[in-house]
Amino acid sequence: MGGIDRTYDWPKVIVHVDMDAFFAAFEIRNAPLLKGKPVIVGGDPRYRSVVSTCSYEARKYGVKSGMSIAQAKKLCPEAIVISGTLGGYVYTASVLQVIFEHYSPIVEPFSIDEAFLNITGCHRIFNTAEELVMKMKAEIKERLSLTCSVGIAPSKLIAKMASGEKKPDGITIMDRDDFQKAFYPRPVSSLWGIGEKTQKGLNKLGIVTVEELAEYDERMLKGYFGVNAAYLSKVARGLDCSEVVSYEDMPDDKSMSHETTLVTDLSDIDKIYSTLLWLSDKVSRRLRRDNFVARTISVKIRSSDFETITRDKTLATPTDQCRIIFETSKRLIPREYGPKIKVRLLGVKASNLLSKSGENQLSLLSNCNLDKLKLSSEAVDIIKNRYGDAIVKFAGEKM
Amino acid sequence: MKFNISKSRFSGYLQSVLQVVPTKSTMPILSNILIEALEDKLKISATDLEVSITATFDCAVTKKGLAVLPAKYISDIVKELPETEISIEGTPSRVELKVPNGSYKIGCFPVDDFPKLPLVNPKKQINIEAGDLVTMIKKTTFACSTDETRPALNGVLWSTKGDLMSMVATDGHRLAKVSIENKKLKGMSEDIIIPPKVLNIIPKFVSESDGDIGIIFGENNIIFNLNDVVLSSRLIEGPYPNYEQVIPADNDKKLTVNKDELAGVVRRVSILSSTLTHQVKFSVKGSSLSISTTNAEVGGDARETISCDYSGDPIELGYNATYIGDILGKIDGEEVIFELSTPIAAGVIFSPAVPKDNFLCLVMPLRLAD
Repeated sequence: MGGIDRTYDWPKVIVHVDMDAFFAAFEIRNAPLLKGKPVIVGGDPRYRSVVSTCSYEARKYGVKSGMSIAQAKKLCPEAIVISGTLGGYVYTASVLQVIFEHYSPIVEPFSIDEAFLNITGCHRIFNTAEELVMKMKAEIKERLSLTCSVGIAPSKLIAKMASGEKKPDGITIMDRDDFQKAFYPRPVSSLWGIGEKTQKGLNKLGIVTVEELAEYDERMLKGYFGVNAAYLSKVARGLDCSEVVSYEDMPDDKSMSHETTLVTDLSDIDKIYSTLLWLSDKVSRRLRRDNFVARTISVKIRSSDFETITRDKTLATPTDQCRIIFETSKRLIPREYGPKIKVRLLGVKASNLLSKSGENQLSLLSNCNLDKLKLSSEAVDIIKNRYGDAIVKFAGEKM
Repeated sequence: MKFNISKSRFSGYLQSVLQVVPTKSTMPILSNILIEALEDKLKISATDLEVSITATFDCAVTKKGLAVLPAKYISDIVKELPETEISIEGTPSRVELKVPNGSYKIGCFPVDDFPKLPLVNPKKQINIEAGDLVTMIKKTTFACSTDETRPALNGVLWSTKGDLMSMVATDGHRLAKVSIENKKLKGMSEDIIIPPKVLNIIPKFVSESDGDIGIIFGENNIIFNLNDVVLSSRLIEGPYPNYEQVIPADNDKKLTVNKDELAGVVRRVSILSSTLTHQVKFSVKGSSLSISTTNAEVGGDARETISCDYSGDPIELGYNATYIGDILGKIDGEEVIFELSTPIAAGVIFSPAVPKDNFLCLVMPLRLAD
């Protein structure tokens, strides 16, 4: 794949770090007896939960992320299913972020177990980009006993594609020529961002390999894929000029939402409300954390036969309070949901966000109830930030 | 049921009751009207469970009876007919409209499904001049809140004390208060909160030149007798916040400006304001008032300057342009006065042509971004 010195000629040096089977590796580290065994991290197998991740031993049986637990158990009956330790994963992700920042000032968290680092210039301090990455991997292993796979490339796209090449615990350096050599013969689904549906669409046009997509006329693709045509054409040719954006520099959120697929379809209105309260709390906490108030509240409801509706309401006064978000979303749920139509998924969204530090409409009348609500939310936020989300709950909130 | 009526009369009354029929409702029965053919009289009613309306008028009834009909179908058919005599005949399950060239038949809803109109246990009854009532309504309802978490602010507070009656509405950001003397109150002292929907219907039935209107105060509802039409509404439960304490008495900066000129400038400048806050900035210095806005979303910037009469230190205030526009639309006379104190305190807005005690508005500023 070429020498290391060539990274000196690249205008940008981007690193993509992908933790190896993150959740499963975390569980195995904490319970060494699981080592060498097929481990699946996912929900309770009695319900319709899915595989979040699995150890490499389970992958040998064909188990994949996103597959239902029931299906995974069929493929690998001896697999050990663990429901996961979200708090532990979040904590580990925060330690990883600190480690990444030792090697680059520009770190973009991409998901709980992936990140992009722009190491342009920094790699010279460590002699080469590969040496920087080796040191970083060693620090991760020493502090967290976890391994990761890393791609080093001149763009985010190629770095992301490269990190998957040598899993687990590998380092892959890839420029655009290497990318073309490695990926051109592969199916289009091996590209970042091309799912099953797009693959089927491309196959219909006779496009099977990455090379065929790269050489296909973008204007022709436009007829079939609309605005996505430009992305498809670029990604196949390994072209990407997007920047690594650190968390602080990410553009302001346009909306904040949380949704959940229910463990079983619900017809009990009280249970629907209790889930709505739990979602409203999550949304309102994010609003308060990031200093926003929302003018519009929306709910998303999917029925047991997969029909999805959304309803929204614009408030007279923007809010960041759970009680107001909950009361508003409760009123938005049509009466027939619950008693007549079973509910499969619920979501709550806050949009039309206004920064609390920006322009604010001042109030003529003090609203004692609202002032009390605000004070109690502040107190609960302090407790939750210190002891975790589960420490305080509303009466009636989903457990 | 059988009666004859001219198209124009029937259409007029149908349009009246249609004011109350909800356009969207989860209860299909509320999209209907109840027609009652009585001895020489016809009665048409509609309700949305909060507000109810009944129109009663003379009519040539040949057979008494009842029917519940889809409001939209019946009113649309009658509206489209040429001027003619319509003969209406039917049973509680089906009604036929006979017209010179043919007939229209509509299925009815069961009469028993139609909600019973509220019975009122009258506590007090007063008469007030139609003009006074319409003025009070037109100057206040715009300021009501739609925030369902504070129900009291969703209505207009109507207070009567001694010979004075006043209406107040506020959404917590702006407030409108109008007071009128009425010698016919007979010392009644009452505070009630009325939904704006019923109040906004009243000016459609009475003009300011009409005579007295009879109003009945019930325990939980209020009834307005408007000639042929009786409107009733449930009242909103209180308490209404103590608004009097927020009306500033010592705002020391007085800005006087031409009302129409200011309204035009605010309307134009606000086109480029943020779609979320509608913020415009008032900068007052000496005898000039600048209205400006900036909007990063569209890279927009607007400013216009007009002359004004102002004595005081220069001041800059942020306002929601919609609030200012609404208030200026209610002010009588050529000029408007803003009594101000600081950029984070309520401003009092009134007309020099009308005593402040009779009509004033308050508006809270928007905090200007640093």
